[in-house]
Amino acid sequence: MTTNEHDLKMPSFGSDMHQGSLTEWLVKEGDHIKRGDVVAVIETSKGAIELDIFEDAQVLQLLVKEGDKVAVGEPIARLSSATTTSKPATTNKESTLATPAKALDLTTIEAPSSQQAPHKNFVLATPAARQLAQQQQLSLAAICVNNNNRIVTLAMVEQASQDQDPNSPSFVMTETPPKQIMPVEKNSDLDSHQHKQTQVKTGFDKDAMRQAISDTVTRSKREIPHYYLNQRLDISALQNHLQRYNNSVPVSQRLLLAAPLLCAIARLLMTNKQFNGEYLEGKFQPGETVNLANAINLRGGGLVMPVIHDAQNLSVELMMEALKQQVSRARNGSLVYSQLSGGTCTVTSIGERGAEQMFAVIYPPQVAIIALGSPHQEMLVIDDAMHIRWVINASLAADHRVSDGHSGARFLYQLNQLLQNPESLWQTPG
Amino acid sequence: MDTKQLRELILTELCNIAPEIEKDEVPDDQDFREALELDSMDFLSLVIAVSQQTKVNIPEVDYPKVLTLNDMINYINNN
Repeated sequence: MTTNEHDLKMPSFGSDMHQGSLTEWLVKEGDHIKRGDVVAVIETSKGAIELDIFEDAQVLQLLVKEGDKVAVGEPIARLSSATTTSKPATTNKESTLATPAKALDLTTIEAPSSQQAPHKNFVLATPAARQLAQQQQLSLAAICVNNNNRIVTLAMVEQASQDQDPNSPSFVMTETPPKQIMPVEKNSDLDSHQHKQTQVKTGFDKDAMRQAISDTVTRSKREIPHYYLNQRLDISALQNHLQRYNNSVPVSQRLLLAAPLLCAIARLLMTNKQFNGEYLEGKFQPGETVNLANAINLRGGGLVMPVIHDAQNLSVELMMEALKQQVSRARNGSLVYSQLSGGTCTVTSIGERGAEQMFAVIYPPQVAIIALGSPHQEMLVIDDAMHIRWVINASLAADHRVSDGHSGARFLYQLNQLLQNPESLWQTPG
Repeated sequence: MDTKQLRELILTELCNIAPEIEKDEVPDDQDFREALELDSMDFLSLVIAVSQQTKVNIPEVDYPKVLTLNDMINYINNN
């Protein structure tokens, strides 16, 4: 056993992120930290994300201050870990395939409660609210306290911004509970005139999010030779089975169609390796497991893509739990680093009320993305007779450097076949 | 539980599910999935919360009967 000193670097929460702003340190120099501990809150164009770590270590030195903007890959802290072999995941930013994904233990992670912050200094706020509070240099903690400790919303921040009277000493400072660490709040008196002027620009920093998405898809379209395939999935059998299942369980255990669909896709990706992995430095590295990124729309625009690790091993019930947790965390702006990294393939769904078909852009360095259109009824000819069936138009966009249309077509064909036997999806894999 | 309390309960749950929603922007008679951009997960969360708190089961086949605020209040009152 040797002691290993190394830097903790600003991680990348996605290929569209170039820098992050260190909102808050949750550890101090000298602290001993354990694998899975959240050490910092980092502000990105996707909102605030908690940085959890993959190792046991001691914090030797904090290299950046709260409020600092740091480029991806730059050191933010010096750590010392007592370890023999394991390499900290965050020091190796692009090679996320070997991420010790066990940090996502579905049986132990608690769903975020609307009343309770995950730890004492972290204020739950929606991404839009956090963005505006930072722009306006308002304290989220103070706003949270003024609103009975509810999750801070955009409207609360806007209200706080209006309430801010330039003549009163400081809204921010007086309402601050002790021990709460504030984000940037310099010059709250001197700048109040400027505040009034900048208030014209309200709402979420949509520009930053739009720019990040633009950078990613531009890179994807430039570097990845996409090909596209479309397959109509007959989900009637699946719908029937799902309906029977949902009628037989308590309401809290009902499943959404997405759960068995994602299970089917994840299990098939294990045997269709050309669609699951990363293309890095001119070479494809197939994933050892299926870490399925699931695109979630944010209210107010934009996307986050939390990752379901080892998705091929999940039962439909655990898949549903994972989805619930992700949506709830994305809405509350409390996503954790380990749940945003290491994706090997992405699924994006248009939802129940929307377009019948979507063609998606691959999220680099992944090599495939599966897009599911809205479920709807169609007249199909089966065995020379007309039938009304529930269908989903699924499309696959895949990387021609890694696979060909033939294997893509086989994957989609197998997916449709698997959905005709829904009972098998309810059996626990393995 | 009277209609007013029920209304408050549904609005509170909606705000818990999607924190950006303001109670006074929830329309009475418009499909709130569309008016508030709720997705199927949000809607399921609402059904779970309301069922558990009112002890009225809302089976999936009855989802079309609870798509607006007023419809949901009526459904709970009648069951």
